[in-house]
Amino acid sequence: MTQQRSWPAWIACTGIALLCSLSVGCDGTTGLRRSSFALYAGGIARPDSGPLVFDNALGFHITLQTARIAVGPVYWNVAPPLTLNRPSLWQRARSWPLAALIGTAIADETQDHLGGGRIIAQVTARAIVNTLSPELTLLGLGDGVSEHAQTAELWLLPEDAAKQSGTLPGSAVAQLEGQAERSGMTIPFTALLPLDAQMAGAEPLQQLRSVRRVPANIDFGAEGTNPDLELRIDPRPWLNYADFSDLAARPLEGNTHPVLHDDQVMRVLQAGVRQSQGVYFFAVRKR
Amino acid sequence: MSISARHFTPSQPHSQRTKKHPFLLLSVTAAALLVSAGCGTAMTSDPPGARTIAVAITGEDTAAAGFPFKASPADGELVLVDGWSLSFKRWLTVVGNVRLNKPGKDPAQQQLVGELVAQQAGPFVVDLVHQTVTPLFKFTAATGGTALDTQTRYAFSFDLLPATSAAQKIGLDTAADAAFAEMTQKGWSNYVEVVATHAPYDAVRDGNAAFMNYPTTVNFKLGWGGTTSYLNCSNPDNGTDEVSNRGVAPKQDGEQMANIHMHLDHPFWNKLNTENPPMRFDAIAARAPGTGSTRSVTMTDLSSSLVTKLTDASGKDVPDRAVLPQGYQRVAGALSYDANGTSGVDTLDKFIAFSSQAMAHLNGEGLCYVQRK
Repeated sequence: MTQQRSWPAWIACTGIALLCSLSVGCDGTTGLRRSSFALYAGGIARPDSGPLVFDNALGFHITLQTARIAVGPVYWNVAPPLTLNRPSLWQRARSWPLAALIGTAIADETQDHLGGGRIIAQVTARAIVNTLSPELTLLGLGDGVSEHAQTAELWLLPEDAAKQSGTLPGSAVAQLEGQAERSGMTIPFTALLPLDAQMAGAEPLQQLRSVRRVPANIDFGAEGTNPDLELRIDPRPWLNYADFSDLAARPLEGNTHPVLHDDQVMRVLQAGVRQSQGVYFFAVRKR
Repeated sequence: MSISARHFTPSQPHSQRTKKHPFLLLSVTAAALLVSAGCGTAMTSDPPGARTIAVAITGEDTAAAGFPFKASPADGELVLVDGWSLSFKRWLTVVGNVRLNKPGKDPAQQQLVGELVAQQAGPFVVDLVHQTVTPLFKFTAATGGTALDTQTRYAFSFDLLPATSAAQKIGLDTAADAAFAEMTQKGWSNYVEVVATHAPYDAVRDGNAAFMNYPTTVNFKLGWGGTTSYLNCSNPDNGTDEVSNRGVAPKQDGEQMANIHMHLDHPFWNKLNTENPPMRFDAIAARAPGTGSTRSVTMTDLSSSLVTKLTDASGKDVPDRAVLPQGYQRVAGALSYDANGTSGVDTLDKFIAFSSQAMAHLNGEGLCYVQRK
């Protein structure tokens, strides 16, 4: 598992080195200062926890009874988000003067087309997040320097995860349980998403296990403040294009249909948890 | 004047782009002569071409050669893993707003460049297939007439633009008029006509009886629009580090070249935000309506095929046909493409457009910051 550990370790080392080098300048040579903060995570804000009910793009009426995901570490970057559309005038006006002059950046390219940017803050902890609970729980403590982040990068790692709340079965990074209904047919399902070498194929495993360029408009440089941050995770887009009818073609195992590695639902889930937008929402935590 | 052929020969880390082509070299020489014919600088003491940056565009070898399928390709040679061969009949592209800026102050943010030094608005429309290398224009001075500084590595940026009647046609024959009119009407920046061919169905090789009903010749017309900016490009001529090698510096002893390389494999990739994933055509061929061995397909035909569940024209799953004996492992079940974190790219036409919008590079493999508008 060397490959799985080496990339986040490299990022962590780079981040720490960067933080250290920048902190040296706190005597005024760089003008940057250190900040520390806590990151809390949970599901989308709603009145109660419990099953989440929604319809997907293929017409399935889905009830999620379990939706947990392993998250961490998290890095914040000065690089802009990955997005499809031209920003609105309002968005550009908000980021005046730079973005208004040059337009808001979209996807750039380096080795993996996403560019390096510069990491300015990090939380190296990992935890299992129950995305069906709106209650925010501590994911970990972080530190950074007083710059403005535009995006965050999340790692979805199975091993050693969740010292606070346990690991997911089978070295999975996400666990789903629920049922999907369409045309009078009800399909119970369970899914354990591995994000493993088999799923990565010829691609680097670290690419499969990271979600990059998640919008995170966070100012780590607000004078005199060390704001705690929150991360809310919406599991509904994970299954937006899932076709559960494929599962119904197989007999039940117990009282459910396990989602298998090569199922379309699994591929949709894999793509869904890695979406840079619409799933992960960062903000300064309101007290 | 000395011009290195590597300017016009893709120098991708993937060695498949390093193949030299005699016609290409010939074209390079011709292009060099054409470009140099107009040389002239304000610095009378400088040698001809000094402090001048000549800008050209190329579709590389593949514009003429296409992607012929080989079951045993040479190391690094580009082939489609599902056995299709592609040849390009026409590839019109509109380029403009070519800019030189002073370098940005934060290398970590490639998209941020300094003060504008010179700009050529164009736009120009060229056919990448019918002319391997097309000289566009030359920067001979900064805006205002001052000479370009040989000590400055200027940030090099350009746009691919929706076609308009204002575009200056370079090297286009009259047969391209109808295509250009369609580009203008649809607001496309690129217009492509591809002929794809496949060997007849073979049960052992193809592995799935569904392919019995697939065409073996497909005429594919595709295009995409919007303005795509390529900002502050890396320049392999300045070294291999993609951050420190950015920009183009004029030379004191002759003309400097800045060549926009269009990588024609992008529309056929099956994964976004990465370089050189497998190329495929089955998902496109499957959408061709009708019956018979020869069919036609357009971008509109692809608009109802979800990349997470690719289907043929009748709604059946597209299986994974990997016919390469080595280098690719067939995936069980239905074929799907990987948006790799990009949200909103849910159908095949959007996927192709998004992937294609990152196809331009500088001097071979120089990666630019891609800004879609």
